[in-house]
This record gives sequence, structure tokens and C-alpha cells, in this order.
Amino acid sequence: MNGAEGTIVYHGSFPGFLCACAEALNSREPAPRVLDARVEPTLFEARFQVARDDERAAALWDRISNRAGSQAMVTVLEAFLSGMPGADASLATVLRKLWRKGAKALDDLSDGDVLAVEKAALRARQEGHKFCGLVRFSKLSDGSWYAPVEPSCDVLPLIAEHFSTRFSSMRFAIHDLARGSAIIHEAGRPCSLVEGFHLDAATTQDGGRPDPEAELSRGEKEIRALWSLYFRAIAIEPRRNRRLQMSHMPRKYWSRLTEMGPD
Amino acid sequence: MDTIRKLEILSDAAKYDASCSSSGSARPALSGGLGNGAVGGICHTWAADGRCVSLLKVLLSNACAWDCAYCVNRRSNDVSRAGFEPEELVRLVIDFYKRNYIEGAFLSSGVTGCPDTTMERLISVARTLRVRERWNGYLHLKAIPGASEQLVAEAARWADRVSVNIELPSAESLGSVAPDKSPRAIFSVMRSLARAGGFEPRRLLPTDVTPSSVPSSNPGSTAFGNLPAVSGAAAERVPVYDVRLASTDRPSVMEVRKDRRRNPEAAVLPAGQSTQLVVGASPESDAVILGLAENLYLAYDGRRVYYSAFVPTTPDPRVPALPGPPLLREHRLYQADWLFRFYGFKADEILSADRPFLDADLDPKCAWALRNLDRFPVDVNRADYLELLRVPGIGPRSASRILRARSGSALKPEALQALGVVMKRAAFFVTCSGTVPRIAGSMKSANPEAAFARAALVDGAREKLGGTQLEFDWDASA
Ligand code: SF4
Repeated sequence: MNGAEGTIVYHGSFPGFLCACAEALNSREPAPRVLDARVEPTLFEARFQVARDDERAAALWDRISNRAGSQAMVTVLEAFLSGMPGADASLATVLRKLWRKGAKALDDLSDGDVLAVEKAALRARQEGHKFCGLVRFSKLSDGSWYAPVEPSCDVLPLIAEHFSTRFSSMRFAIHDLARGSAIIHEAGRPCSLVEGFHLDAATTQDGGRPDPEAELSRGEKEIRALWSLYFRAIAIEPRRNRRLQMSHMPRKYWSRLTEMGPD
Repeated sequence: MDTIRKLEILSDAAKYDASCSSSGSARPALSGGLGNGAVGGICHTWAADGRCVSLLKVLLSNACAWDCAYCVNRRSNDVSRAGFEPEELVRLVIDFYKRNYIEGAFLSSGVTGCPDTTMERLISVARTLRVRERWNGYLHLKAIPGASEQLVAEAARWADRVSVNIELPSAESLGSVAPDKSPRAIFSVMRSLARAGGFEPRRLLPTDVTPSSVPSSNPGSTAFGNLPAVSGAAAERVPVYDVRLASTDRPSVMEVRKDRRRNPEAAVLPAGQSTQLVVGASPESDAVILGLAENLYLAYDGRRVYYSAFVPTTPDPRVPALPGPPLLREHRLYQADWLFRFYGFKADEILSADRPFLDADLDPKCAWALRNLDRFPVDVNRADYLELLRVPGIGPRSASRILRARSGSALKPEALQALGVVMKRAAFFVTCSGTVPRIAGSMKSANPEAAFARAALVDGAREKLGGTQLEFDWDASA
């Protein structure tokens, strides 16, 4: 496309992305594209890298959110977390519009970038909502709770508040196995999001990774069995409909669900 | 008996109640407590029949003194009986909740002793959960027909939702199929629940007025203006089982619900009351069922009416031996119910006395549109929200997206798909400022010619769900 004007690349993180957007906002029209550095470069692309600078990112966030309001910023965050290919490039364009026109920029659904951002945001929001239900905690022998998850979108930032409000007196971790990030919550405190999380466990699996299954509290297996039994008993046999079940709960989620284990 | 065996029996016994909703409550978290409400509801898993599971749905006991013909737990049925100790059930709820298996619990019970003692047992579990365990998850309690107003009010105090099931859509069927329940016993509980939630139940039509004698237009009247509202139990004439179709000047369910101010953080019954109607265990038509459902929404502030395809378990001469549950009929009824709640339709627009059953092949909105071709095509660049909602293929989400998108520039047919409009259906019924969309896979452009459109609008529900149509000689069984 406008390769001649160059492409600004960032490394993965949301603050990094915002810094790339800040850079793009400062350049002259036509605005350079913003891309994740992991995307393969095209042949004649002039790439320019922007370093992550959390202060700069926060400054841009505040500037735009003063103009566009917090509702629009939720959409921005969701769209980024969707991780959908191309959503970040569209989002960079949309941030420019939000900066110029405020929140009403998002109403212009005839614009391809706005539509792409809205779609991406919806996807992350829906998956976040789904994971409010699909997270499964296990009680560990030290009394804390552990839930491994494998969502397609980076939903942890979207669900952290829900879980820390609901389980405010529990010490828990919700661990995104693919991204390595986790929501960490201590009783009665606000939660935090950490990167590169490792379960502190005495027992390890082959390959040296900690093994939560060996750390379960007593009685955990019995409660899982009760739940699996309930799950089987509640289905009405003459209404059996696997296709409907799978349309709500795609197979990719099954491996982390207690009740979907081999029966 | 150990917990696992009890759970097996008592969840199996509870599963024919369709309600598993956890929405409507935003019960706040207590400090040092456990849990809160999520106003939109959260599904935690989906069972092998495809239904959402969000609550631990169990009976406290499946020993029942009553004998409802459609129910597995009826006295005359030979099944294993069990009952939870209250503590055992409390533990299960908390253990499941902390693991995020469930959003809450739906507790019900067979009638052990009299309705009041059964209610008291349910209430004591509820109280323990709320007070001792400081648990604020979603709680749905079943009220037993005939329970005292005082106990119903206490159940409402602890629960997010309380329901009492009508099950049979007419007083006559109730009498023959569920002889221990009377309309009076059911509706008095519904009235108590409506009042507990701050709503004075209304009589929509006096019993001695037929729909045709109600003036069809009454300019200047407010909603319910010409319909006597009866308040106070003394004035109630029971049994009330008014299943006639609504008169045309009644407000739609959607309008009335919009005007009701609700507080999802309310301490009493934030998710209101619901009920269930069994489909196919008795001879009533879809028109009768929908007419009743509309009345329940309007007169008792019912939050949801569930329709449950009758699942024949063990045979009983009072109900038909169906080859399987009438799922297609249930599906169409849910679609029609959706039209009440979110699309502004009234029962008599969907069905009438001379057309008593929903079309098996068409979604009821398409069927309505094909009967009302004079209202189409609708110009998506001009129509208001309610007009857009009436177009097949346009729902609340795409209707509001159309309003947003067209504020920038006039919409062209190609843009509609991206806004979430299902063009396969909508193409027959819309224009974009005079431009008519093309019908996919055909040289025709839309201009709904009924026979062609009908063929194109048939959905696949019959193939997926059909098969179990009613072929039961009702008269012979009576
Ligand atoms: S009262 Fe009727 S519906 Fe309820 S459990 Fe007993 S037999 Fe079943």
C-alpha cells in the first residue's frame, strides 16, 4: 500500500502499540501504517521501529480519552486485545479519527477501519464474557486457587475485575498458558496482571514445568467428580444436540474444562 | 446414601425445568463475603443437549405427595427417591461456586408434607447461604403452589428470582393432568411475587367481557385505561385463567417492560418471577399458549415465560405417549415470545382464533411479514427503529447499527450485510432510498412476491428439530 511512506512497527505489547500510534500521529499525511513487528515485512517496505515507553503510551491514552471518553477507550482496548490480524493497523487509523472527531468517529460504520475495529472489539468482548463462565479453579494444597486458561484473545485484562470482585476473599491466579500472563489476586486486595507467570510448585512435570495436578488440595478430585456427574445428569437425553453444544462451546475450550474430560 | 448418588437422583429429577437463566440481578459483593450477581447472566457450560448451564439445579427432595401426570417425580411413578440434608446442599453450592462451575443455584423440591413445610425447608437453605455463608451468588427458588403469602415473601427476600410453574395452559387441563394444583393456588403465589417485587398485579379483562365487546380504539386513553385494574385479593375472582387473545388497544409487552423501572441491585427479587408452560402434554393451541404468556407478562410482571417441550418419561394415561419431545413447536414458541419482548409484537398479531398454530416452516416474524406485505418494502434510510425491527433479517442490534451508520451517509444495499443484517431474509423487504437489493442466487430483485419469498424464507428448523408433531386423540383420552 503506502509502503513508500513507511511502516511503524512495535513489539507486541499494548503500550508499545500506543507509542507507535503516537509516532504515527506526529507524522504527516498520509499516515504511516502501524504493524506488529512479528508480521513478515513485504519486499519494499521501509520499517521504522518504536521503542516501548510506558509514559509516552499513558500520555497518548490520556489525550485521546479526554477527547473521546472512556466508553470509546474500552472499545480501543478490546479491539487491541482481540489479536485479530489487521485489527491493530485499523485501530491505529481509528485512533487518529478519535483524536480528531471524538467518540462519534466510531459511529461511521461505513468506514472499513471503524467496522474492523468494532468487529475485533466485539470478538474480544464476547470471548471475555465467555471466560467469565469458562474459568475453572482448582484448590491447591496451600489453600490458594489456580485456573489455567487458553483463550484466543488476550482476555485477562477484560475479566480481571470481574473475578477479583466476585472472589474478593480468595487468593487466586488465572493463568493464560499461551501468553504466560496471569491475573494474581490476594484476599482483600486489588488484583494485578503479571507477565511471565510461573506457578510456585514443588512438583514438576516432565520438561520441568510445575504440575498443578500434583499440588491439589485433599478432596479436590471428589468435588470435580461431583461436578462432572452433575454435568452429565442435567442433559436431557431425548434432546441430545452435540452440534448446538459445540456452537456455544467450541472444542478448543474443552481441554481446560473439568466436565469435558474423558468420561 | 452418599452425596454423589443423591446428586445424581436430585439433578436428574430437576432437569425438566427449562429455566437456567442467571440474568437480571446485580446483587453487590459483600466485604468478606463470596460472590455477586452479573446483570447480564453468565453461562458456565453447555450440556450435551446444547442448553446453557449456569445454575446448580437440584431438588431438595424428589419425594412428592402430589401426582402431576407430566412429571417424573409424581407420587404414582416408580423412581428412586432421595433428599439432601440442608448442610449437604449448602456445601455443594459453595464448593461449586468457588470453583466457578456455576453462577448460582436453582433450588426446588417435591411437595413433602404440605406446601408450607416444603417452602420452609427451601427457605432455610436459602437463609443459611445468604446469612451464614455470606454468599451473594444468583439464587432462584421455586415456590410451591398454595404456599402462604408470608412464606412467598420470605423466599423473595433471599432469592434473586422466585418462580411458580403453571405448566398446563388452561384450567381444564390443569384439573385433569395436575389434580393437586389449582389455578387459585398458582395464581395467588404469582400475585404475591408480583407484589413482593413492587408491582400491583392487574386483571386485564374482566371475565364477563369478551374481546369483541372491548372497544377497539379508545383515543386519548392511557395504557390499561379502559381495562379495570383489580387490586386486593378480596376482589379477585378465581380461578382466573384468562387465555383469550389480547385486545388490539393493549400495549405491547415490550412497551410495558420499557416503562417498568427496575433496579437490578434491589434487595428483593431483582430478577423477578418466571414461569413455565409445558408444550404438548395437553391440547391447547399455540394461540392459547401465547395469549396466556402475554397476559402473564402484562398482568403479573412476569420476567420470562419458559416453554418446555413435553418429554414423555414413564407412561401415564392422562398425557399422550409422544415419540419424542415436540422441539420444533417449542422452538417456534420461543421465537414468538422473543417477538413480544424485544420486537414490540402483540399476541394477536402473531396468531388469531382462525390461525391457531405457528407455521412450522417459517420463523413467526417472516410469517407475519408475508401476511402484511402492504407494510413493505421498508426504506432503511428513513424507517424508525420500530419499523426496522419488523423487517425479517433485522434485529435490535442491526437496527441500531443502521441508525448509527446512516447518520453519516445514506446506506446502499451492499453496506447492510456488514451491519449485521441477514440479507437472505431482509432483501425481500427493504429498499435503500429506492434502490432494491438483489436476491442472492436469483435474477430477481426483491419485491416480495409471496410464493417466491416464502420458499426462500423457509428455515432449516424442521429438518433439525421436526419429527414430533402431535398426533394424539385428545377426546379419547379425556
Ligand atoms: S408437585 Fe407435581 S410437578 Fe412438582 S414434583 Fe410433585 S408431581 Fe412433580
